[in-house]
Amino acid sequence: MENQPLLVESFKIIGKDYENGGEASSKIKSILKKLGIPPEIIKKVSICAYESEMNIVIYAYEGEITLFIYKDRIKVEAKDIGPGIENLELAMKEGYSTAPPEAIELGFGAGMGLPNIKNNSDRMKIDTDIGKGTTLTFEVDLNEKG
Amino acid sequence: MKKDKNYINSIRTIKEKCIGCTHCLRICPTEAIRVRNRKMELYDLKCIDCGECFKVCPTGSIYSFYDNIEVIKNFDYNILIVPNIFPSINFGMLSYEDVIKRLFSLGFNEIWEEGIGNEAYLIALQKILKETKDTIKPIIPTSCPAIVRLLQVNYPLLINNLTVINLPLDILGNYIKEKRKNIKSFGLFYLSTYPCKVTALKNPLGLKSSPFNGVFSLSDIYKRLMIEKIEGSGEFFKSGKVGVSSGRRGGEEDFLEEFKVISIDGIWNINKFFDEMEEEKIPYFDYIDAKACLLGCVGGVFLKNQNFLLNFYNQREEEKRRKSLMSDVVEKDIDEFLKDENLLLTEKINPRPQYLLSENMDIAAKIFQEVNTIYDLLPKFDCGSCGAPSCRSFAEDVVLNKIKLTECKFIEEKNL
Repeated sequence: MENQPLLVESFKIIGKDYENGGEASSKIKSILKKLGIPPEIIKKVSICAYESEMNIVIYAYEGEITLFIYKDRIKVEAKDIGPGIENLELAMKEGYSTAPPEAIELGFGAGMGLPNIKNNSDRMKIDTDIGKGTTLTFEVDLNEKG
Repeated sequence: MKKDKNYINSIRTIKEKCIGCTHCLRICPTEAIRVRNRKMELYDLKCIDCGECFKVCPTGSIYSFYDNIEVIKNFDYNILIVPNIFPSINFGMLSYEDVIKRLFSLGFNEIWEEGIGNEAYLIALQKILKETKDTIKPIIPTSCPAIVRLLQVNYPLLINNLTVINLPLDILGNYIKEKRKNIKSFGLFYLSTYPCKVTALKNPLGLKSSPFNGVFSLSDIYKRLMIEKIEGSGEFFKSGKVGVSSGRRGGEEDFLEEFKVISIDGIWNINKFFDEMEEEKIPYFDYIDAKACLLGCVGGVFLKNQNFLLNFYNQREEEKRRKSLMSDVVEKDIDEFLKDENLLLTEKINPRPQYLLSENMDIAAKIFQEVNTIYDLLPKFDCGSCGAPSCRSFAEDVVLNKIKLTECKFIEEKNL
């Protein structure tokens, strides 16, 4: 499965930059459109990419999202320098959130981010190091439609 | 009229008049225009017939394809449908009734207002919104053909939001065709102020064939009406208040009061809205009343710079007809209009693959990387001097061998 990616693109994300939050996932979406990825797949990847981007914006200091396109799947790696996730099990629960008040005021932090990524991707992995940062990786397969 | 699959768009240019000024270049919402050798060139498969280029052209070198009115001579009995904004046009000293009389004299036996089709369309839409639970929301209308084509070219992710209801004009066309089927040789025609509707009749989307036999230009007919001052007579079918207001931004919203409807006009505003919608950043709506022209159909392409005036007259006309919400035909015969064969699209509308760099993903990915490499060399001013609307589209053209890299003024300077 570990063949060479056809395309790799990275985007820098700045923490607390709510105004520009979503731009990286928007760019990812337009790349996938240009490549002719089926709309259903683009939708899934966009949702996951947006959630992981907003996670960096809300919780971390800075980070980077990298898109890998393989022949058979799309992989996105969201790597951040930040506080890390203290309780992964709780974080995966729908409705659980530790978002700061300013994020909640803006309508974020409903505790749906990670569950949403899990539901819309085929594989998801989280490596977190308390006090250092988190790397979230998810993959969406290309071979089957829908 | 048989569907002509090779008929892609209606925008044409008069090469001699074009001065290569680039006004049209940047206004095109799908980046379909290039200026090569000081002349405008159109990438047909990207063009959605919105007519924005026509509106900004300073030399009048852009026009739309139309049929010659002489084609009505091929038929014994002719029916003309006039656009829903027709009653809002100011014909100077002539009253609307006079205009209709003169239209008859050109050789038409019946004249119908397109608004009647819009009324049937809205009733059908209301029904779908009320009764069908599993439709993808918000519903995007087919009533503006430029919007349908915009989705095909720019927003493949939203194509499933398109309603299954036919273009209002086709609903009316189908209805008339059925009603007059006993007349042996009859022709059905449309008087258009929009290139998008010309294309929609020549190569209808979601349908096997169009009920129409031809489409005429308003400016052409207008001239004839002014010269030939003969009055004729025939049967005239008027739309009600709803049919008139449907040509204006927000008109459909009034009728669909009980639903969550948002009205957006202007192709660039719609572009921005659809961008956000694709990213699911838009709250829930039942229906988007999207009209490509500013202010709606009253901003019609061939009525350059008259949109505010027409909007005003449209509101007046609506006021005049306030007593009859719907046309008599729709009131009496709505079931006939809503028959599946008149009302529904028969084929699925698919995205045009032209938004792709290549249909093969491997190649597309390679091209994409090359485009990025070239894009990095460019100034990113989007100045348009190279004849492409943006540095990115220029980079794409370079990789696809449509233009040389040295056409960029800034690259030239660097190399020399």
